[in-house]
Amino acid sequence: MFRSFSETVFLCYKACVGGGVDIGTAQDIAVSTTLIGTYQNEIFGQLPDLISAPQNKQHITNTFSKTANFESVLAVHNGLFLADCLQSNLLEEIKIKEIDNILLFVGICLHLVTEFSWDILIDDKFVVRISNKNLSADLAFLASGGAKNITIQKSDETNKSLIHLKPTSTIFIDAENWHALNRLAAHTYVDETMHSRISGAGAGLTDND
Amino acid sequence: MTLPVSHTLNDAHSLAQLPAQIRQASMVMRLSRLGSFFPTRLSFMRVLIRQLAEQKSVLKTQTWSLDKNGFGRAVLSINLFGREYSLIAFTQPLSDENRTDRVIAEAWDSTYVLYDGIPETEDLDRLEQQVPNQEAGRYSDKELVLSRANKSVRLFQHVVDQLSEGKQPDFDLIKSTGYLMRTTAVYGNGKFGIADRAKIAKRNGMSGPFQIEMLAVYLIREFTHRLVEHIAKCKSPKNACLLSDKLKRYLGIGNSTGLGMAPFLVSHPVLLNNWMLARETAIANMRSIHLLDQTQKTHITKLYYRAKNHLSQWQTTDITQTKKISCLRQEWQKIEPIFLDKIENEYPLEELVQLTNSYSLEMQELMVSLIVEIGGDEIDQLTHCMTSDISPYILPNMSLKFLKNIIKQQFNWALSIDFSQADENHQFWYTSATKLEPRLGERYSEDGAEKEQPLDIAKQVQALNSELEKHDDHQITAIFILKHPEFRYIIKRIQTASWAPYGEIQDNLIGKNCKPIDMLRCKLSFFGAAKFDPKSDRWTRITLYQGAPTASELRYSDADNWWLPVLE
Repeated sequence: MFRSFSETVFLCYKACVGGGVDIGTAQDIAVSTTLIGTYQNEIFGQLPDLISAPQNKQHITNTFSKTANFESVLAVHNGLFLADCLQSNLLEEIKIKEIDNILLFVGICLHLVTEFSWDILIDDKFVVRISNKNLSADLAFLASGGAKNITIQKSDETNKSLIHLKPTSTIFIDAENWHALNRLAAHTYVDETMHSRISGAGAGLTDND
Repeated sequence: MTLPVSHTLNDAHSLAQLPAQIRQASMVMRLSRLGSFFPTRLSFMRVLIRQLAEQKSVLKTQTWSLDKNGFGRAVLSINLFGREYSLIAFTQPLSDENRTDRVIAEAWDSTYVLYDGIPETEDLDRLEQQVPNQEAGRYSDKELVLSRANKSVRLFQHVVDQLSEGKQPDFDLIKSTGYLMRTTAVYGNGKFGIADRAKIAKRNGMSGPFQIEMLAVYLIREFTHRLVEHIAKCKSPKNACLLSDKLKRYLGIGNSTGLGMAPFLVSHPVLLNNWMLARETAIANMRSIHLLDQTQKTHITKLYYRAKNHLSQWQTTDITQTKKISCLRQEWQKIEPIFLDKIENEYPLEELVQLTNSYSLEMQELMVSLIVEIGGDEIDQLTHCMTSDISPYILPNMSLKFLKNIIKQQFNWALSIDFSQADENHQFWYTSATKLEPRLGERYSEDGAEKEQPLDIAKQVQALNSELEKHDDHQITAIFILKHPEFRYIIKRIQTASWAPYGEIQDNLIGKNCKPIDMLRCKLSFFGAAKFDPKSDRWTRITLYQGAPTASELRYSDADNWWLPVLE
């Protein structure tokens, strides 16, 4: 079924929170997921597993270097930090040995990294460029999930081999994927009691004025 | 008193340079003051009506397929900046026991969508299967707003009966009710598959906040006027008369608003900041006017007396609000001779504001709304500053020293709350599993607090502040959040406050003393509502578009002159 951008962001946010992600991260992951989802891919089917991945905290030991290496990155739990580092110019190049979802990470960069243009290489192959919220990519990239040997570096914008992609205004999301997100979101809702039904909203049950 | 630099309304001055007299966020953003707001000429309904009037918009009935009881479907369309927008209405019988204004309702007297363009018959057939189901239906991006409304049982049938006998309805009943139907939800921005705001945000006439929702409500009001006339005519074709223009203008559209509106102000701090900053800039600009010309003196005097009459017609059964209205009537009356003197002085509007400082908050806020009302185009231009699509975001390279300073300078109100006291943690905001109705619970006696919504801003500020004390001032935010991702949300808000100072309500929203009705009134005043009629401390009725020109009156030169309407 086709979904609006707003309702998709809302459900992804609720699903993240329902899956135990903190509020601030959930907000950014929800927007990031929806942004990359507007390029028609499988991200919404992948999100529930990404949310429930056990946390794996990253560490930066040398904050004086503009380059950092990371072993195993979880997009939901670590992706925002990497994007913050790029946006703040704390890092100019990031190398990741393994990431559980490169699509979501690109979505995070689209959402949060608005300074400079960035190229993403997988196994030294140039696959994505992000520039001022615009996405250019190798079309095969949209079928990606996990990836290994990733490099994110400032772009000199000389390589023109990628296709500039246009997002859609509404998003097709498979019913099964939508329900999976809804199941996670349901953890944020409080079951009704007779007391809460009567008093929780501060209004009566009928209104015949 | 320090007087500002002299200038008149006609002096150009940059909006970027804030007037010296602007009221600070620490004064304005308190619940008690927000809960005393009145509509101003910057309110969203006023903005829409000015646009409709300037564009000479014309309302057309495209479809009118209603039976003798007024059940069926109808389409009204209106043009704005070269585009057509159509209200599609479906009406049905509803038993009294099923008439509830709450989100948990499953049936309504009437349901609506605002459609982008003129709908084809296939669109109407499709929507007839969906719209009466409201949240349970499914919509496309051709639909811009989804809404529903219930009849005022006490007034609707009376008006039909009177008109069918060729008589106008009872004047006092109209005055005490003010609407034929009241909306119980007005959904926009992508809800249930309707168009995202992004689709219309850059259109002429739609860039301001809630303009498309305000247009839908305006058309619903027009529909209700036509509906009662239609049923009366069917009931007695020979005797029925039309509703008088005067009563039509006075009959607005009611609205029931509950808790759902309150979290919006918290979850949109940049938008809230922009609304408040525009409003406060308008107030400050008016306060710095050196002298009023004769036209302005005449205008403000008329408005003073109109406000006085309006207060005399403001009725509610709520005890707290009744006391406030009573106090306000006395205070407004008391300043009458002084008011007429003051407007002759230098800096008259500043003096009027100063005059009210020793009175109630409602008095203070009524006065600032009054002085803004005599502002003209220059004030109205501020409406362009009232929108925002920006959400709070992290400034990752901000030093913790800077972050700590923002807390110290702008969140002292949060640090001063003693959360070791049970009363300060008394309430929690949550979403019910039943139709996702927003509710408020008591933390110590109800289940569900572990699922509370993040409206505990002050408490989160305190938790962050404690943790920051353990970290070096030179560390940057990105590294701190790496270690403590749980603070990402509150850090975003605090950093945002450094450039959007009016974005936070500066009170404890989970405390026992928090009255959500104050948040509702704040937001509704920005819509342009008046005559707040609280039904509890978390639920209110209001009337929208009361006194506004009807579609056939948009061409009149006084189409914008309907602040605080009076039925005379």
